[in-house]
Amino acid sequence: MWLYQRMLQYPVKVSGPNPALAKNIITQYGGPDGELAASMRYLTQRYTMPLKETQGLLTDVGTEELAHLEIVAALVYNLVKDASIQQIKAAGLDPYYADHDRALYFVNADGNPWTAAYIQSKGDPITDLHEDMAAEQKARSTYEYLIDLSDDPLVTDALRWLREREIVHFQRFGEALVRTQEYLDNKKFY
Amino acid sequence: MSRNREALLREIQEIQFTTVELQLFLDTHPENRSALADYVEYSNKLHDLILQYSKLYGPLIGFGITSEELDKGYRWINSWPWEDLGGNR
Ligand SMILES: [Fe+2]
Repeated sequence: MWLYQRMLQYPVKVSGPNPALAKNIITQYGGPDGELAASMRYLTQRYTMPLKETQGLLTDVGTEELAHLEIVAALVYNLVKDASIQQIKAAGLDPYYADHDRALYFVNADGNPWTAAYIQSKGDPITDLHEDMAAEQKARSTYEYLIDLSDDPLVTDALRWLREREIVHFQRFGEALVRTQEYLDNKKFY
Repeated sequence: MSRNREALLREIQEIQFTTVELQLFLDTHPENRSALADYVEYSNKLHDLILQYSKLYGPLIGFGITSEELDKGYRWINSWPWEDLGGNR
């Protein structure tokens, strides 16, 4: 089971309504390299990992990604909650508003809904860990593009923190890949 | 949120960040005794702070992990972490 802890993993703030920024950041909520995809990928891949420690890593990183999903939601929610209809129209967020008002929904920056086709669960632990490492790099790149687009220093601070986490996750998945590869090689010879 | 409450929450966030980091590290370095010792030390610190916070401001973790105080009513629903992040300029 999972437990909910009633706090954000990292304290984030926004300077004020900014639907244009929210429109881009929402891709880390429901986009191809976003936090929902990350969490679901790791949590569903863990069952077929041969090493207990890699099952643990996927459980723990998948759980941390849920905390990041909440941070991204908190950013988007606070960037749009007090935005006027005029601001929403000017930002090009009106098609989103037509379907969801100011509610959170899993879409990328273009408004395409989240799909399980964003992730893979292949059963081959080497393949899956390579996918995980690539996923962390893709998430890092996305946070860098969002940092380029951000005109709110408080939001930029949150994006930088989230970007750093992807680098740590990439490092850990790389170590898990080496351990898994060694385990599989030893199994072949003995 | 009061300044004391926010400060205590920051401390919890910081120490828990360390325990998250250590746990991920231990997942790929389970034989590392010094990381394990750090994990134990920070976990104990974290438990104390979470208990302290929950007594003052209501449960921080649901489903019975941190309890309510009978005389203070049901405080789980009091405020949510995505509120008051400065949206209204
Ligand atoms: Fe990640």
